[in-house]
Amino acid sequence: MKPSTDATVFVVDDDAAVRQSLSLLLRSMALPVETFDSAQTFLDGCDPERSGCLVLDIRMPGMSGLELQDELRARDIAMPVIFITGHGDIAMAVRAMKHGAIDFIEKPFNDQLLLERINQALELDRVNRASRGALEDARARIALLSPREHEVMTRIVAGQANKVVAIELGLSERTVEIHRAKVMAKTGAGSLAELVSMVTRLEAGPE
Amino acid sequence: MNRMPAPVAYEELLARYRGVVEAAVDAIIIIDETGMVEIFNPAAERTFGYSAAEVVGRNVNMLMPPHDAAHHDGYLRHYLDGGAPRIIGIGREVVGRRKSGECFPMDLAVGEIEGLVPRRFVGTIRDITTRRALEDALRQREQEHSQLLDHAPIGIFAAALGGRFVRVNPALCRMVGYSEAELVTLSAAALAVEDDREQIERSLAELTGAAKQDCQCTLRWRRRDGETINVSLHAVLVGDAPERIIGQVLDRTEQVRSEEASRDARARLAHAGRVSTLGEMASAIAHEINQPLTAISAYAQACRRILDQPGHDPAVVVEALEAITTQALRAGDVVRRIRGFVSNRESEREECDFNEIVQAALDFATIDLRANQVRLHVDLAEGLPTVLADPVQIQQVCLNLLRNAIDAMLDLPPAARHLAVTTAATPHGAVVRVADSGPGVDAEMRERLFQPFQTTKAEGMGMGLSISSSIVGAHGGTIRYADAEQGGAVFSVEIPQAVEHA
Repeated sequence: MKPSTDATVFVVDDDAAVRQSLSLLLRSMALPVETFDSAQTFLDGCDPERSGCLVLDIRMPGMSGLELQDELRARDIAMPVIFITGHGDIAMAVRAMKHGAIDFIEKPFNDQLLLERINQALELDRVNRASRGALEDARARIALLSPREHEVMTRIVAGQANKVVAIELGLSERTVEIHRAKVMAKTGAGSLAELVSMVTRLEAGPE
Repeated sequence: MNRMPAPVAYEELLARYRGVVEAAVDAIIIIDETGMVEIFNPAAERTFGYSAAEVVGRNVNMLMPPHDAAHHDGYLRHYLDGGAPRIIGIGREVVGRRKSGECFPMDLAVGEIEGLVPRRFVGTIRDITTRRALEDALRQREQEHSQLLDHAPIGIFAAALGGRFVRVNPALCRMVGYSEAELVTLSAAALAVEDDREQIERSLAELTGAAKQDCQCTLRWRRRDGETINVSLHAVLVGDAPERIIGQVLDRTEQVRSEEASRDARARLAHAGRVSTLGEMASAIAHEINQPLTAISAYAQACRRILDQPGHDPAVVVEALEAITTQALRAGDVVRRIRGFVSNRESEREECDFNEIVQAALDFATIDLRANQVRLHVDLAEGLPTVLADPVQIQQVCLNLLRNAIDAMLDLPPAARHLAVTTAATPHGAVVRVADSGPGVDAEMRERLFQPFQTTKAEGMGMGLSISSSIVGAHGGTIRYADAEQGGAVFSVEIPQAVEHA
């Protein structure tokens, strides 16, 4: 799996040498890199629209890597995070992983392992963004439905037959069929199963 | 005028010399061969307290104490019978008796006035009471001085201007293991060990050259048995035209040894403190070394990848290799700093730049500051006086304060952890202040702050401030606590400046 071409690796480490060496290493792997000397500088210039992943030092003066991870969650920025650390601190690793980190890599690191994890992270970001895109799309389509069509859709998805929907809504079965056809057309769902999956994802999704 | 004098009668003789006799300062008494006083001059009257009238015509033995008086007639007869003279023509010191009955020492010279019949003797007398008293006093003083010298617990000597001993007391002999006879062939400089000889020679030269009133120095002497002793010597010039040096010598060997022993003990304790500190910092130090290692590793892996790429830019590789060197040196610096900090070396005072010491401690503490996300504000004053200190020990004290400050702030959110380190000149030296934004020290703890085994930390031994206090004390400095204005603690350490050498 290849990362999308514009995906960038964002490196945040307060140690200039680590930052610069890591930057050179990633560039030698043909990865676009941007470096930041603190969590705050990264946040200040953070564009949620940009795809990529974060390589984050855990311990930094000011805001730590873990705090940055929390802050990104709070801001609903779902960029995958790989932690790098000089400390084999289990408690920190557990917390980082629980909060969705890709991995917790000890310094000094093996370039192969790092490359693997970064590729993994970029792929995850791509998938996330793609599914988020689809979700957004579905939401937009569902928003096009009229209140009546929405009512019909909710009941169909819940598994009710046209006849039952017609009785409960006090409509003719024919009218329900027309609404149902409009729902399928507006949402772009090719089948009932697709429509169900779309609505379920929307209800379960973070947004 | 060398004609022979014509024989004269006794009375005529008396008349001729009466003036001389009467004016004489010494008492003059003339007796006849039976011992009867014929002439008793005014000086004799003053000496004996009798008037001439009371004495003339009476036996001269009335002027003698009983024992002499009883034998005087006998002595006289013995002489007249041709016996050997006891006093006559010789003179001696005898005892006289005044009218008051008081006996007194006197010089007596007796001569016979020749050619007279009956034979007559003239005695001249000088009261030597005062002289004798002076002599006695002198003798007694000399005796006292000897006693003082003999029993003095410190070494005392008199020396010639060149420094050669002329007189030494037993304590000095014992101190250096030489006999008095041997010592008077030596000098204060000759006893000095090679390294100290020039110093004492110069001091004595300044003294005899009148460049200084006295000379005070501490030096090492070599005993006769080869042992070295530490002495402090104080010498002054004596005499109107100075011709002698008088000196006192204290054996400070024991004192020096015990000072050395306590300095060693303090150094060992301080070292133990540093080792323990390093132990506590091990994880942070590992991190500090790990950073450059990480950079080195990443640069090296990058180089490999770049070299594999066709048409790569060699300049990029060269730059990376240079960065690797820099990072290797950085790791080496950390190791060197640690080694310097824990090496078990002798405590040595040297003239140091105070800010450099504080900066070294800050470099060390950076590890902890970073790990604990403490914001550091540093303000080191320029133009601080040079301090006389063991730089590693003072660095240890500063590091201890920094680490305490960090520990005190761990319960605060990272954004509230502020540490300010400032240095300033003081009237006597230089001071470093470490101010944190923690909770400060409560009143009860404050009193025991610098005592051993006082701690508020779960894993602390409570030795840090105690060791710091002992180090600072040994430097003649002070360590203090104060509340910060916005809460928090301020610890300050003042170290005296190095005394400028003349």
